[in-house]
Amino acid sequence: MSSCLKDKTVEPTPPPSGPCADTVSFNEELLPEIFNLSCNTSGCHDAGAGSAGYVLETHDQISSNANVIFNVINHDAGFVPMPYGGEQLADSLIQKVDCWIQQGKLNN
Amino acid sequence: MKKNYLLFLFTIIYATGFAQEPVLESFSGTRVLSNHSIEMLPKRSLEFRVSHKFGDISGDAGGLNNFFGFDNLADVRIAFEYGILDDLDIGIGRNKGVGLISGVVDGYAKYRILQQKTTGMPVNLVFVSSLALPYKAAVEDSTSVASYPRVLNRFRFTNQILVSRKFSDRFVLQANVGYNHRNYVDFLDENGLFFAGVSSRLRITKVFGLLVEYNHVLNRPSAIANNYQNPLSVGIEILTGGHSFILNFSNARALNENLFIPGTTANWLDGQFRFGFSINRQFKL
Repeated sequence: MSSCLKDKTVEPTPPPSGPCADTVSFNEELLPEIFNLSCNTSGCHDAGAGSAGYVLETHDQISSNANVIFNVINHDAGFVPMPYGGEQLADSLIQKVDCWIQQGKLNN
Repeated sequence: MKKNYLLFLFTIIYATGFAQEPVLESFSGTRVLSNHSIEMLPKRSLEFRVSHKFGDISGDAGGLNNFFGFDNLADVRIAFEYGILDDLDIGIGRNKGVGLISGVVDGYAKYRILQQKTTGMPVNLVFVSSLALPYKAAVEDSTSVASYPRVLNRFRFTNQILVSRKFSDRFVLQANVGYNHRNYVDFLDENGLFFAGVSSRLRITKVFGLLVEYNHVLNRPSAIANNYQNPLSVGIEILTGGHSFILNFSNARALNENLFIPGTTANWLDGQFRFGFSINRQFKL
């Protein structure tokens, strides 16, 4: 039969593996675990102080500065290491920010 | 003397003709349960068929909460079928369809090659060719079997040969072999599937009969074989003065062979079997 086709569906791409397999939640993970604890505390990057011009309380404010935030918490050369005067954040938290940026800085 | 000789000749001719009468009523209709039987529609008769299958009787989707499946409709087919000749039928139908393959139009042609006779021909031999195509809009996900990049991808075909013998008024056996071709399948699946089946009708009393229909897919790829089941139907037939009521219990959700041969996933052992029935009416045109 000339109308017999041997077509098949596209093979689904395997789900992402590695450190960013799960979608990071901004509202349930990043904001409470990192920003509310270590960044927008009173006198630092809260609306009252806005230290160095950065207020980091909302998704808009954080996502528009996401790359700088990653540089400073990752203690990249040439950036002021954050949190200022404190210990570097746990690797797992820094990883979460990295993943969140890769996943498109979702407000989720 | 000459008169007697002629009478004798007529008797012989009549007796031979009588002895080669076709064996009728192997099954009570053109389907055993879901699949075709060797029965044909009489010439110039139009049959209107409405077939139903309900939801799972037991298992997770059945039970009292769904009133043993009666709250759910697995599939419904509305069809007009016509006997062009005593040995040639055509039909067209519309199925609700099952799962992703929904809104399905089907058509078939069925030809009787041999008919069982009281002497001579021991079997019926029938060829059925059918096609079906779901006509609803394709989905966008190109990994889905309903994404249909081309219009032709919607088509599926089934060709079958049915052989049957009515051994007695009580017992009929039918075997079938066939080939189902789907123009678009999952990347792990096979476009062409061969299958073989067996069906039987056993009359237990004058009123009650038992029907069985089973089809086995022969070349399902092993990677996905566990996702599929072979369609098995069991029916109770009740004969009442010219009418036959068939109570059909089947794991197959679909009503058309182009859907239930390649696509049955429900499992009897998980309680995923359902009640089905058909209402048929023949009009002489």
